[in-house]
Amino acid sequence: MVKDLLARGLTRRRFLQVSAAAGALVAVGDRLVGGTLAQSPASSSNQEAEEKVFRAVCPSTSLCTATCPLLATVKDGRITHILNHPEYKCCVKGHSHRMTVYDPTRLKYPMVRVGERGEGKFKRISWDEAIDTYANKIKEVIGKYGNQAILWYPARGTGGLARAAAKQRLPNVLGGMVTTWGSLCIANKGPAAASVYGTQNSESDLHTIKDSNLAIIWGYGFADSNRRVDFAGEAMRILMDAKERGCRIVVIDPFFSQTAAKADQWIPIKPGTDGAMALAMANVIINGNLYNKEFVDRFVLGFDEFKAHVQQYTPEWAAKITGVPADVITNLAVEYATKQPAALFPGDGPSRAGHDPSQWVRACGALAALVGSVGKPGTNACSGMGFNKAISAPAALTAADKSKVTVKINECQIGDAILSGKAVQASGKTADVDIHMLIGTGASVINQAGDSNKIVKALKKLDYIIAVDLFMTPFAKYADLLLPATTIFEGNDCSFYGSAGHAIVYNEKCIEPMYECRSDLDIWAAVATKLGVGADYHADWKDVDWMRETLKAAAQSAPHLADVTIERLQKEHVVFVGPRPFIPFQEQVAGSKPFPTKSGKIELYSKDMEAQGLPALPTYLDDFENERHELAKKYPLAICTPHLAGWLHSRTNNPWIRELYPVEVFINPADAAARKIQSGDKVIVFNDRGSTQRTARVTERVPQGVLALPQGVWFDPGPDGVDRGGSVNVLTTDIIDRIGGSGTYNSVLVEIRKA
Amino acid sequence: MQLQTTWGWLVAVYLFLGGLGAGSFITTAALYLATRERFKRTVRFGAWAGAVAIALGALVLLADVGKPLRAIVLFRSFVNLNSWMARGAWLLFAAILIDGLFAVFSTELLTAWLARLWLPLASRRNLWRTVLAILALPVNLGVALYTGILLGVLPFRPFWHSWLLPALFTASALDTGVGLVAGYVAWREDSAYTEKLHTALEGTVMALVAVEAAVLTWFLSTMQGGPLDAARSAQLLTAGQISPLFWVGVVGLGLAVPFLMALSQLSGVAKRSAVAVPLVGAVSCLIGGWMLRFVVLSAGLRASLSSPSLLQILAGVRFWP
Amino acid sequence: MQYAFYVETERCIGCNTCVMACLDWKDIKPGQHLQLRRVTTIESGKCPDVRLTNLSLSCMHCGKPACMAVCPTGAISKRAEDGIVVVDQSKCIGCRYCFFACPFGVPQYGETGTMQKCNLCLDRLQKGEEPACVSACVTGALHAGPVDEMAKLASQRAAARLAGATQPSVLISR
Repeated sequence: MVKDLLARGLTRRRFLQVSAAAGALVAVGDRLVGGTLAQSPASSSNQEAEEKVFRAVCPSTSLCTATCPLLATVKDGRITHILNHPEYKCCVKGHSHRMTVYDPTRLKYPMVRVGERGEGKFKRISWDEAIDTYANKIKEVIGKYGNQAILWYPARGTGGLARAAAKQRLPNVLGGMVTTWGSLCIANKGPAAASVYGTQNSESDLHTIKDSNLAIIWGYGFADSNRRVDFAGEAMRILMDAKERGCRIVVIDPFFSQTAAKADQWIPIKPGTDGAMALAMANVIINGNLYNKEFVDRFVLGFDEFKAHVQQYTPEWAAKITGVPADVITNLAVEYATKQPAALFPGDGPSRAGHDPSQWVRACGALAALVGSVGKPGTNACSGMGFNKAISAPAALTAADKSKVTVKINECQIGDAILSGKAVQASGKTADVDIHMLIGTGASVINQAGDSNKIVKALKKLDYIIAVDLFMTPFAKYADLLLPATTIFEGNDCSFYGSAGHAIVYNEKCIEPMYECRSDLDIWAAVATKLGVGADYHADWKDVDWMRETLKAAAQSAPHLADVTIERLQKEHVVFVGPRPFIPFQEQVAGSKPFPTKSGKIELYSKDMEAQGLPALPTYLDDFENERHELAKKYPLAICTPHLAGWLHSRTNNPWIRELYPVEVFINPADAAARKIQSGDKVIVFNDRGSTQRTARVTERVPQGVLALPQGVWFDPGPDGVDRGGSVNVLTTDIIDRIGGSGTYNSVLVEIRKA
Repeated sequence: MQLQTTWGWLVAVYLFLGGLGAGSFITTAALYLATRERFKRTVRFGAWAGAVAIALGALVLLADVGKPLRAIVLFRSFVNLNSWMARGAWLLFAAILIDGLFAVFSTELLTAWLARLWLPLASRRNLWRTVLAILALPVNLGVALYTGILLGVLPFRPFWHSWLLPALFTASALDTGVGLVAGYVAWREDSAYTEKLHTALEGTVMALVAVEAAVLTWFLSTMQGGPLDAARSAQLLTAGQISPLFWVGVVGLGLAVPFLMALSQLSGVAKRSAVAVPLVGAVSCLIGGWMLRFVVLSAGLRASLSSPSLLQILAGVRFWP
Repeated sequence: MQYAFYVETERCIGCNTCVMACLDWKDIKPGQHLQLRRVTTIESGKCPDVRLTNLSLSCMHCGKPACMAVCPTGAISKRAEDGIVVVDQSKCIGCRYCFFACPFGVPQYGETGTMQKCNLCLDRLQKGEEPACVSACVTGALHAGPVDEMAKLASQRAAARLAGATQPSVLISR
């Protein structure tokens, strides 16, 4: 056939025509290419469009507790860049938030469930219909079962000053609803410190380390979180500068974090056993006569009882439990006692590990008291929330007096309360609860609380679930009514104090709400109006109004806030309050004021604790799941759940972050070899509560017997029940600390195998 | 250990086709210059095989680059003649032209057409072919060499950084080229002298395989005894991840089988009329040739970032800029 | 005046803030697995004597760029005024030869198919601003500027210019 075609007549003329055409084609191709060749990329864009810079605050604030200011450049109503403030840095998460705002998987419009609950199948509805449903459901449930049948759960996603009062006011003006007490995380530290020092505010600013000879960083991951500072990077700069000036840095942590990497000494410790080490250190200090006798005589109550009590806690005993050699414990205790000023900072990891980890916090407070490491530059007494607690909404604004519901549910035990009908109260007593509806606003519900599978069971049992969020989170999948929220950039807001407590940072509205998203305030105002309590709730207040009123009301009990007005914040963007560095108890150790305890002294022996049926003295309580248990035969490995710099709990799940951070489990070479696991293998970590899949990373960064599973990735159960997302809470429990009611994640036993 | 994958199987195909085309054409040109019209069919086949293989290789290369429409405009895109990539592009272009023209002139039908355009094209075809064949030898040799030089000049890919690599690729190019032509001769050549040609070609195949085996051994032992990164790469072939591909594909199919097939024919073990034997030998040889490019590419790891200087800095050795 | 990076590895906490700041400034669409700056964490030692070294590197803007030498199209050039090595996106054909020439594996290829790498935030430098990564580093471990200035900064520690035949314009301190 080809022969014929060829034979048909390629005359010369034809040939020339064809070749001319071919040549033209090449020329056209060249022009196509040449079109871009001629121009340089810069000249092809229109430089005329105006760019405006807005002053914002990182959306991670209210959860990560730093308050890093951001600058958002906006062009044509779209954020083009998110930059750190020239003077104050923001971290990897802050820089990633443009991808949170413009993530194409953002919830865009109100939806109602169409499939089975939890399937994640929804159909779009109008806002009118959504608000009607929201309001009618509340009316219906209250009518049938009463106010105490609704669990009102505005969580960390509703952080920020603008919503602080509003989120409590709405349920209260309706007569109240069940809310949560305690917290998923550090709610035990303040009360534990208060049992020793009389106030929850017992922690120095990290800046005091500049005057320390020794800094013991006990389970704080400063490099991977922004705890105890106002702005990103502050903590590590303080540590590294101090180290250069001769301060010795010791990090105690089951995981060799990036924080530990900057230390002079890393002490790997078994999760949940920190109390044993702290009390052994006390034993060494007392029996070696290394304590500050003068300080103890003057300022400490209960020394004799404490001394008798710690005799059982020898370094040898502690070594068996913690995995830390006895001489390491002894040497550290001696160093702490003799190298004052030295600062011991009890961190957040251990305070979520073990049986009543508040006992360990108390023990750390006791150690500081023994050696007089209190109220002086270079020292730290115990634990706290920084210079001042976050601006918690003043009662005048929250209408707390209008609530008739007294029962609460611990934030860690929502699943259990729904299933069992019983809820432990802050008093320690158990109350009856009968929850029919859950309204979760900015709440992870499943992902960050212990025992995910139990929570899922509980959610399936409820009559109705309303969820308000930015994304289709694991919890959002279980909603019956799902509403799309706005990010911080789409409204005005203001950060709470950072965890150092000194900076208050304002956020200007940078862009209009995306898609059909609405701010929580708009949603609540609409629902309140629908329910006829609009005026009562202040439905006409805008975000700026809420902030102004909250600041005014807060200043009444915190006078140092008097000159922090909304106008000043709008003008200055970043406002500082309080003495820097804040070192509590300076007046007390100078003798001019008593400690805020009942006795006026530091109380190693707490009558309050005794009255509540809790140990009067800091006591070591063996973990519920540990290697000495029967359970360890089946599940021999302990987990710890550190932060990764890019994962702020479940909040920073955007495409950029996902590309940078693989979901790994860190395993010691000996444990890995025994199970034929190599780096890169898909593995399943499991126990009786659930299974989760990750990628193994064999490393010396964990001791034998410990797995490190950085936490925050999203729960994504497959049909076989194995969590494909790698979430850690399928493995954990919902046991809480009796003091403060916080979770105890870092103390469960698991096994690991190749997938 | 992670294998090199930025230049993957597509590039391996391109390098192979380039080599195969060059080798086929060199064989064909040499055959033509030596025997003229005696083996018309083989010369026509070999010429087209060469031209098409190289052209196909170029197409594969275009399919692999990020901007093929830009790349095809050679005079815009291949201007830095210090780069072996640019030199190679022009060599390819020249080879396709020369090989293609020779192939056209070796095809009666096409030559007849050309005659209609301009008589001298046809009437002087043997002159053109002679000129083209002579030009083709260095140009195609250039193509074969360049596929190896392209990799060989890269100092930070220790496994490639040796003159032995272009030597190896060229040996393979000739080996596969002769093998292809030999297969065709056994299958299709109808000249009276086919037997002699067949013997000569099979003998050449054996010699070339032996040469290639020698160069391969020399290359691998040089690498094995070289810097750590080169040795690691060599290990990948001989004992590591890609050793199955290497031993079965490159050594087995690419060297042993063609050698044995050729031997069996020359020694008389295989029946004279058994076309299958030389064909199996040819196909096997080609697969082996492709495998060679593929394993060499896959093992081309970068000199590790922990260069001595970097490690020293990180270990705290103080030295002054 | 050759511009250079100075990386204080002992102050680097491996947090990836520099990487993310670059992604934002360069507006890199996710999904390409493109990172113009990368942080590698090298682990050594045995528990509990473990050591982490975090290395944040982008393009070395070499004195003798190997990428430029092998680029067939001449798309890669080195600016005379500051030594920054830039890629003309309109010329690159995406052959990836530069990737093989570079001793550090710097060149990457995103969805455009053409070579992407750090250009020392030329646009910011021209406005008198530091590169995005330097400005973002939370511990102040990253610096960029004329190589003399970087050498002076680096002289305060055990630091040296990264050695190599391509003359990388990067100083690293322990």
